[in-house]
Amino acid sequence: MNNNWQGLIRVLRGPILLITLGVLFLVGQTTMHSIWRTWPVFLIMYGVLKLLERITARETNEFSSQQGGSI
Amino acid sequence: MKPRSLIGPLLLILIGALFLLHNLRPDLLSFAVLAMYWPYILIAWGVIRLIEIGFWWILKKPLPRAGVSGGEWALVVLICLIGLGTSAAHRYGPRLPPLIMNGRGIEFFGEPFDYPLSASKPVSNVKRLVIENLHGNARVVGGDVTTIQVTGRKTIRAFQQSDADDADRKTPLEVIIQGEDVIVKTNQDKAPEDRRVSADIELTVPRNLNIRATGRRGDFDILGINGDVEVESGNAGVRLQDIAGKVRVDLHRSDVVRAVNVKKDVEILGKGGDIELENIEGKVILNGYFSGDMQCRDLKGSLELQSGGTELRFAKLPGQLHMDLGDFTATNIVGPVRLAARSRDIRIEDFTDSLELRIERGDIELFPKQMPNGSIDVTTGSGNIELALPAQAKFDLSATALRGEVTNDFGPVLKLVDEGRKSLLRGGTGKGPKITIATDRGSITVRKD
Repeated sequence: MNNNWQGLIRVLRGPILLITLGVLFLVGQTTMHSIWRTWPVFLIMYGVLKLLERITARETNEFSSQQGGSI
Repeated sequence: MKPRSLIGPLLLILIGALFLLHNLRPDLLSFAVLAMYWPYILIAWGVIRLIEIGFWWILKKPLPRAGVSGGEWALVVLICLIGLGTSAAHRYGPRLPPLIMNGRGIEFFGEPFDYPLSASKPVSNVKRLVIENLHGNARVVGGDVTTIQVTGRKTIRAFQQSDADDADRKTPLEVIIQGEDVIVKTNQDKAPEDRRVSADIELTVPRNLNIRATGRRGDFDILGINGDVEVESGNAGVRLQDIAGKVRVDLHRSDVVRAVNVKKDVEILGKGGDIELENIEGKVILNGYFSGDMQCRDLKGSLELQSGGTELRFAKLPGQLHMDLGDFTATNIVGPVRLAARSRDIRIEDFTDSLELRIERGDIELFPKQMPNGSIDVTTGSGNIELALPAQAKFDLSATALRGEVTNDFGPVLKLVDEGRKSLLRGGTGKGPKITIATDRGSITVRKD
């Protein structure tokens, strides 16, 4: 089960980025902050999700090595 | 077996439902709504995917390799391009050729057939003229006449002459008297659903009438009227000149509203582009969202503007004012003046009475020429402030630059204190108005004019 955390975050990345994109476009439509100004938020979001993926991958590896590894 | 996503069928249902809604109730789902709210499609898509993945995770079903596949991202890019194009067309629509968009959808087909329009009616005991022209321009000229004279041209877009003739018969130009109203209607709502009818009309009317003009798309030019003027339209450029009564303009969209020589109040509501006001004797109220240039000259009454994040008030404007999305300049303005805006460079010359400026970002230059009677209270979050006061002016000043320098031309009567990155200037030249200026990030210059 623990192994799947990394996979879950990887799978969630697409929908979360899609929602972020939608929100940025919506903010651009309804306020003065256009997507041309707010696009770095998308980059930050992508970075955060990648970071989470790496962290969970490391935890998974440590867990595997404590268990003696798997064959 | 890996579970299949429901997004594909749901998107098809959504697109079908949107088209069905547009066909059955075009008033509920207009082009403007789609242009504004299309990003909700992306958000809904993401949320549905999250819910699906949550379910699969809880039910311990195998997860797909990616939450959004490569093909889906390609579709997202396509939706973004169409959405951005739709928004741009909605925003700059009036500048595009008229055949691209109209209230009834996309119009590439058929050819235009023109029909002359003409009608006249003697009027007496009538107080108001009502113009109902859904599509097309209307020009109203007031004169010393007792008959309403309408001339113009009707354009019908159709594949065949017979279809156009049929639409022409169903949309007669009418001039009807109802009580104290005389109604000029082009009856375009009676045209067959797939015919696009527009009419450009010119009316000569008695100048003492009140005017009410309504439409969905088309410009209104109204000249030489002694009564009140009211314009209501979905999308119109409005030009008014020599109006002795009150003016009220309510628009969903507009490229320009111009009013010149109006003797009473002017009220402009809704969304619009450029605003031009000249020689207005009454009060001016602007309330809505105006994204273009604003130019005012010789306003004898007060002005109140509320547009997006910008708020402006003043008592009179004998001089002139220009404002766009990046700048505000005014010369010879009578206070109390209050301006609050997000991001704008400000330059005000020759103002009297009190001045209050609240700017989140932008440089400020103030040249009062004569010392104003009221206080000056100016704040910018980020930007330089320059204040040029008459050499002999009496005032009590407090200037604060949190991260920036302060320059002083008035000598030791004003004391400069440096507290690390913060600079303060305090003092006065005698009994006079209180001046408070502050910038969080930027320099302050107080100099002699």
